[in-house]
Amino acid sequence: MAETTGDGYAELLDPRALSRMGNLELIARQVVEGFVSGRHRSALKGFSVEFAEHREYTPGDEIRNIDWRVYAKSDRYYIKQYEQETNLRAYLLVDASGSMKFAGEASGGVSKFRYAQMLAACLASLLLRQQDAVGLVTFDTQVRRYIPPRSQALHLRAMLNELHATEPGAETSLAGVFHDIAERIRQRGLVIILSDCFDDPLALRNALHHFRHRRHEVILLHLMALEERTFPFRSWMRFRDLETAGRELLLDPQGVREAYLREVREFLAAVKRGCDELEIDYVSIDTSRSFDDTLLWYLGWREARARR
Amino acid sequence: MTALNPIMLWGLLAASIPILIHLLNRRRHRVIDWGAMQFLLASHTSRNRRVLLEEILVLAVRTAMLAALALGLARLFIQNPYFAGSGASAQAVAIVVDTSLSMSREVGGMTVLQRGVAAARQLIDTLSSADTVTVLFASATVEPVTDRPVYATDEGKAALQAQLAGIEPTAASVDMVRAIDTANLALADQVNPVKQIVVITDGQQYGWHLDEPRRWQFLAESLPTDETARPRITVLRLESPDESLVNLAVTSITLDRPIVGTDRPVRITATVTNTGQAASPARTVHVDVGERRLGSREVLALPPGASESLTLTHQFKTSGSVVITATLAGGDPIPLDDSQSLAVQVAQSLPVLLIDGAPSPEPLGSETAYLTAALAPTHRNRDAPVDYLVAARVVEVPDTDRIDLSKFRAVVLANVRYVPDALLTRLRDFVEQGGGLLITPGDQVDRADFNERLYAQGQGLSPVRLAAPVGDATARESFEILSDAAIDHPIMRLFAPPATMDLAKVHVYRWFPLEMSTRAANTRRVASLANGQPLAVEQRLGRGHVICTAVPWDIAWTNLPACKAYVVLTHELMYYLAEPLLPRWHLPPGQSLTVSFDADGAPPVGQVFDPDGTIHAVTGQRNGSRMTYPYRETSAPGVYRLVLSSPQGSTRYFFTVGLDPQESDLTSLDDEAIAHLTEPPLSLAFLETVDQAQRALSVESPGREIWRWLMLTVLLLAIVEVGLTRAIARNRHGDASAEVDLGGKQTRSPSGRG
Repeated sequence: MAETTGDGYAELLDPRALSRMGNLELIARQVVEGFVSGRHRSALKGFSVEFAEHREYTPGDEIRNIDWRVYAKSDRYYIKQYEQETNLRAYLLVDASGSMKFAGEASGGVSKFRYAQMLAACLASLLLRQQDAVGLVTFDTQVRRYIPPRSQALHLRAMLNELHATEPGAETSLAGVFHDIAERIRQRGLVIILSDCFDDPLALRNALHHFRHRRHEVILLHLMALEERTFPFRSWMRFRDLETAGRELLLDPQGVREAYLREVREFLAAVKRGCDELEIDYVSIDTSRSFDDTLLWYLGWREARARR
Repeated sequence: MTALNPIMLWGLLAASIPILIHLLNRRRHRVIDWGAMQFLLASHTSRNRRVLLEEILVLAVRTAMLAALALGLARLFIQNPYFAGSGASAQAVAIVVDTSLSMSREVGGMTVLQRGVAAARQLIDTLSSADTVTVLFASATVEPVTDRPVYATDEGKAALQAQLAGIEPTAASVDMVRAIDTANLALADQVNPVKQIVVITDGQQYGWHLDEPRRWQFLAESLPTDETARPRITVLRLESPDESLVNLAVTSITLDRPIVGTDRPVRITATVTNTGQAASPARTVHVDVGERRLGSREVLALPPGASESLTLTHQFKTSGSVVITATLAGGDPIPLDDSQSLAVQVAQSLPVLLIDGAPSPEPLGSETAYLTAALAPTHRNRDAPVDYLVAARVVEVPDTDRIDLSKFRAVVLANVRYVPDALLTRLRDFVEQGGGLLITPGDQVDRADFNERLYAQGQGLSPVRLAAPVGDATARESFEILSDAAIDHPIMRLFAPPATMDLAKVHVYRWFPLEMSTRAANTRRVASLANGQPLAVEQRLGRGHVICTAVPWDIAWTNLPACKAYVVLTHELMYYLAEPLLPRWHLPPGQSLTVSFDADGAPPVGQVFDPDGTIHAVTGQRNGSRMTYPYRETSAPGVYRLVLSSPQGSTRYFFTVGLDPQESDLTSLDDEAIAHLTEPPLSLAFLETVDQAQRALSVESPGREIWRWLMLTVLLLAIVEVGLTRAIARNRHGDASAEVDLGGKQTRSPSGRG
């Protein structure tokens, strides 16, 4: 669907450019409105309302909403009353662990967390526009903040303020915190996880299984920087751990590159395999690329879901 | 194990470069805050040992490669039985051929030198094409026959053989220490590891300078300390003189005075020595002056080592340069020493300045009048006036300001009361430049001033301090006579017994006791009184001489002018004092000739014709109005001719370089001397035959250079290094393109869900 976006809009989706804007609400509005208006066919059309009950016509009601079948049977005017679809309760789970602070050169200094912030803001805005209820959970080793889902437009600001105020810090312990969140979210809904998933893949799988057990739908937006995937370093480097203070490694990157890439490859395969087994939608995201692929994917996913 | 090029061993330091680079890289690391630490930790733990091993391996290979390169360039030489004997290493050979006079001796129809050349040819033929060879001709100088050492290829050998064909004996002697030293220097730059010096000589003892152990010690110290790099020195003694050898040589030719004029006859003495091993027969000596034969004398039969001197008297008619030659008639085994020449410059005049301190209008009233009369006596035969050599000019002290002292050869301070400071300074410069000064103090002299300014605590012009005069000049009955003991000063040699003339009749009535400085090493007595006090004392100052007498040189305090000896003594004094300023026309071999004269305008063009007839250009050096022509190539004995040509005409000067008389001494090196030279540190090997010398040259190498192996090692290590780094790189970056591909949506298709 790339043909549906113009060059100017492509620029707008560049995380490096967006990051400079600072205000998440502005980013979310600009991206989502531009994104939606740029499409020829509205993705919102025809699926956002559901029949609820009949009500007697009163002047002022729209003529087109009169149920002519009921009128034929009863000779009375009844209005078909629709209820807005609010049964999609989406939870945005944003990883604020220390490793998310990594900002590679390829992504122009935009850290994974900043990318996750912006992406979460855009998704929240998009979901709200679609009349869905959106909640936000930020976490590292434990849940930092839980904002229950709401579908009011004003709710966006509260979430964005929270997102904005969040600073990534401590270690990651995804498995534990996911179990915790899974326990908290009672109502069945859509769980969108934005994380680098730097944890034990098996433990992660078990935690995700908890969500599935609760019959949540889960989308894993897996964020990784280009450097973390390619390990392009040549000269000797001192690697300082972002999560554990004082832990660092001085080494010749060329010597460990092969083994490193193998480790990463195995990890990703394990994560993806776990997602496949649990029927979790897995989206890998390169923080050096723009949002539109992710947003488009989401809209496609949403449309497909609506048709089910 | 030694290095033939040890300076390159510093290159071993380069072996540390890979390690330094490694450490530097570690030190200059970047710091990065890293998120994906779990993968890095896992990979680091698993890879760490292997990476370490790889790094150590690569570093070891690189270090070894540079070390092998440095050792190869240092030309490592292994002395090991496994390497030795695997064939002779390339040799650098220096063949020194003695071309001294003694090599011209004929034995069995061939000169020793011809045999030496034949031996040298045979030795050169022994060498292989990888060997280098330098041939040096050694006599007064040691000259290589080729600009640089040549490889003993057919072409190189032919070139050397051609050079050897033209070799002639010289009349000079050889200096073996210098010859071996020069050969060693010629070998020092050679790359071939085995170095050999072969000296081909006749075994004459003279030239080995065994009486100068310090020179030999210096030579031994200048040889490389390392056994391998040290040249092996072999001496091939061709022919020792047999006991029946008869050789007469003209060993010297001298004049009785250093300065010769046309006014007086001069005595020419030629000395003939039997330098052979047996008694010589009687032979005739001819003495020629220029082209004219002066006379001939018979030399009686001489036992070995004995000499006979033959004296002829001759008065030169004209001034100018002339050569006196003494030649032995008949032949003997060494013809080159049968003749000896002496160049003489017959002087036109000898200008002398007499400074009169007590002038008198009376005839013979002053000291200078006596001096003038003695130096240029009025000749009785007025029809044939004699052109006296000494041209005396008398001035009084105030007039000296206008006199250019450099025009004179000697100056006399005759009874001068006070020498002005300016004159004192000029006199000192004059003496230091080679002029002569005679001080004859008398009654006018201010003794205190003299001692203070002329003696100046032994630092002044005068060699002596004047004490208060003793004796009474008027009381002629009491006097001192001259001592006849130990008359060894050159001025006094004409009065040596028995020809003392009337020196014994000289009465000295009054005199200054001369107090010689005990510190002055350059001071000596010329003559003494019978009471032991000096009559005249000489001191060397710079290049010149100063003589101070105890009496004035007139009749006031002595009766000297009344004696016959007065005139002779006065002349001898002047000749002696003037001598340092005269150019040397007869030189020992190797000493340079310097001719100086005043010349305004364009400098004359100088050319020297050496004894071989070769012409050498000589460039004059101008210093003010004075031109100086130096000539240094005087190694070959014989007659040289310096011709100075200018538009006004040309002037010819002869000069001679004397034969070294000891070169005719054919005494062989004795066993003791040979034993001494055979010992370390020189360890010379003395051989008698060419075969032995050839075997010495073909001796097997004591070891082997291993630079080829080292270079091969460098090459192999370079290949290993390239292979190793490529393998490691492939290991590390082989899948560089295969980054962990998360690009695109690795997603489960939403529609795929049931």
